[in-house]
Amino acid sequence: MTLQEMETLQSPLADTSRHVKNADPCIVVIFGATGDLTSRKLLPALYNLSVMGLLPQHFACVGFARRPKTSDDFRKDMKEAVEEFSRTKPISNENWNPFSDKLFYHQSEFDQDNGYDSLKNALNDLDTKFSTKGNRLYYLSTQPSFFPDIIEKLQVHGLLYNQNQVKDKWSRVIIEKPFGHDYQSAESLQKEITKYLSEDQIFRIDHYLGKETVQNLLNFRFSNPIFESIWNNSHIDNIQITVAEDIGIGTRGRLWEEAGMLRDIVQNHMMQLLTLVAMEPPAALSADAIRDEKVKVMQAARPFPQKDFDSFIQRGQYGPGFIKGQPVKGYREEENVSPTSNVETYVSAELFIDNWRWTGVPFYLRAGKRLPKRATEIAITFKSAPSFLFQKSQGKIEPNILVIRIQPDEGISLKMNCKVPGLNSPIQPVKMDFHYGAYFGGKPPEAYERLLCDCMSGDKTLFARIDEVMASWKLLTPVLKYWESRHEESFPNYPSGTWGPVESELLLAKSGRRWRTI
Amino acid sequence: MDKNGSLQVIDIEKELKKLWDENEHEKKVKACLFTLIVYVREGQRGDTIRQITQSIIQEFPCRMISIFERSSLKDHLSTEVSQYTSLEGGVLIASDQISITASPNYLERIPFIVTPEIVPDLPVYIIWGADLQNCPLLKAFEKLATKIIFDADCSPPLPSYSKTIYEKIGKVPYELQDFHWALSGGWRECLFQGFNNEEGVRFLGSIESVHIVFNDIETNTGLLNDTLAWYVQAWLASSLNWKLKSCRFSERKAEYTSLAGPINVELNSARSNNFFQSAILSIEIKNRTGDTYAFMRHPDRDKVILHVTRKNICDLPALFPFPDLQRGFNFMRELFFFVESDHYAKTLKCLSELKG
Repeated sequence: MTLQEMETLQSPLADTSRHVKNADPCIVVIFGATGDLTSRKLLPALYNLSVMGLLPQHFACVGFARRPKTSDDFRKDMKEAVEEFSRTKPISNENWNPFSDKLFYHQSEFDQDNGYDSLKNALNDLDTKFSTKGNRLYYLSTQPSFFPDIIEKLQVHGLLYNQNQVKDKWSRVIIEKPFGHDYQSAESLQKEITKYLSEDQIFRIDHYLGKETVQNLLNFRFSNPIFESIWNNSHIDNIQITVAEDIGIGTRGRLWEEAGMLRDIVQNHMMQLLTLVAMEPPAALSADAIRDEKVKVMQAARPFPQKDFDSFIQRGQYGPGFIKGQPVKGYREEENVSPTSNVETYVSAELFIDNWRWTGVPFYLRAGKRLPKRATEIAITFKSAPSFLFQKSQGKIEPNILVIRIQPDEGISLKMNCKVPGLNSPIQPVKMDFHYGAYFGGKPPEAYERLLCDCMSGDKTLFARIDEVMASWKLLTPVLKYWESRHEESFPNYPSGTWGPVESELLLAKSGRRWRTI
Repeated sequence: MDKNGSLQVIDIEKELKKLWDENEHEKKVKACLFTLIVYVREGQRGDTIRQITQSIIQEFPCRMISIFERSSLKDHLSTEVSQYTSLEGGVLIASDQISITASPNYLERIPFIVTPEIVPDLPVYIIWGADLQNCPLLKAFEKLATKIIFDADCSPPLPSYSKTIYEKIGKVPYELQDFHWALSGGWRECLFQGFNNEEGVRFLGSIESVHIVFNDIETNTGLLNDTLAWYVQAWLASSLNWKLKSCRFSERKAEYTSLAGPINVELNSARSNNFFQSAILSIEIKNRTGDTYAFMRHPDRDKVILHVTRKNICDLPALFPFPDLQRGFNFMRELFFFVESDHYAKTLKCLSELKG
């Protein structure tokens, strides 16, 4: 029963105050099931949903991939993966065995027609065995280039339903980011897949939206009027959004050479954080109402001036350096990376949103690899108090800063100024600090658990809508084209273990600001 | 792990979290007012600075990152974490401590270890317990600092140290402070209070001699016991716009001129086990008409007695509170909470001119 159905049905046992999402009976088919994402995220997520009782009772999961394997091999591999990557440990057989009985493997190339025919037969058999009612969730955990072909094959082999005609069962497709690699390719991909799917059937995943702390952004903003009333250009000086990683590209050299930081992080995760911070209160907490407001933010984002990109958006590439005291190599020395690569591993930008709420407030965005630490956070710096009230001897009055830490050490802190005890004592900044882990204990659900559960219950709130995606590509594609047309002679331009290139500091220095130390 | 040395760099955040989680049952509260980075070199005032930092963390919860450069080690880099706990108002307060030990050839890695451990949004104070020459690490830390506290005794001689620090004033993005300036705070306050009346101000305009006695007890740390005394006389001289005429540094004598005439300054040693080494025990100031203001540390260490003797009158002694400025809250206030002042700049300038 979906949330919608539950809300309308008059059952004496239904308790809508509990707001428990009921995922529909279904079969989840994971394309690319032998890849990293499945073992690190998807299967652990499904397992934990099962442990929490949030997987539908009638459920099965099929891994679809090219490597020859049996279902038993797949179960064994997935058990090892869940043992390593699950947020709940240890894995008990009481929990694992009933779950693993629902795991199956289907071996085929993505472009083999008989592979899809045999998949259809297998799924029909599983429908009978597990009463999954024909509902299908196809997770495309593959290279984006395979998406159109897989979807076409699904359609051709009767594995997708026309939801205008078929009402008693559903088929949905989850597509991993990035959706396209620029505006034109995103538009073309959308055109391709909408030959076979309606927008309602497409779930574009951005796993940041599934994070507890990202969802808390909306709760925080709209359930605390004290903050909402100052969430505007009258009170805020600037907003800094940082997505920092201390790891390099690892073994993803080939992928990274085609993508770069702007495509991998900025176009999707960063834009999601930006829209959630900047959006107006929605009319309702429905998927469309929220996403409508997010799209408006993207539409109001001022395009980067084409004649002067460099003053507003900077790129960097990490060189050799040290992370946690250990030497690390530069990007160009990584496996499968060209020694003259022009691809960026760091982006910083100054962005403005031209609407009533945000006019004049710079949004500073930075994302990078091989930075000193891993941290994703949003820092809202408020305007400073007039200092004439305080004597010179009492020191500089620091601005208040509200920080929402997305990961790690999820939480919220507020920097304030207090007087040091004593006569004629100066002012000292202090922090009020809330840590999720300390207050609520344990580890919150992982992003993929929430997203998979939502997809199974048909809730699209936490999935990107096509107009959101296109709006962010519209903003960033001109920058991509500009960068692709110019070989960056200064690369690599920041040592690993530092906070990025010097030019990134200048981006803020021109207005007398600086990057906050994280 | 290097072939011939020792490389034990732990995952600091992970170990700190582990420490915190292991002691969760103790119901502690984590607190932090600032990040304190302390850098000392083997053989250079390490013990003294450790004592000072110990008293800092006793007063203020802070994340302390200690860096110990040991030239006796080869190819060495190690890190350790611990937790300092204190009971305040019935609440157990815990603060993180991170220690880094490195041989000189691994110093370049230290900024990369320290940078991620800085507590965001709060001040970063650095105690630089080493000389100012040949220190690439200082350059890296200058970018992080809210305030750097220097130690004149780590970077002798005093005049060239003062010149180096003076030249930084107004040119660096962080505030400057030094131990001896902080330690001189008590005497500056006392002298101000002592002369803070009409007669006192008139007296200041006619000073003829200044005689400072400092505590010259044994030291094995290379501490120069007269440094604080030089600071106080320089502060007096610069505040009263005296011009240096001559200086015999090794004899601890200086001669200044003012509109009223020449002023002789002399520093003498004494020994007292009641006070810390280099503490100023007394300051006697005479003017041209024979009046004397004699400030003396009271055996109760938290007071100073002032005897004012005029030609025809002998005032009753006055008592001034004198904060314990070797440790404790007052010292911390001096070090961390007072901003750079013109007085400090002028004192440094005066010290930088002392030669001979």
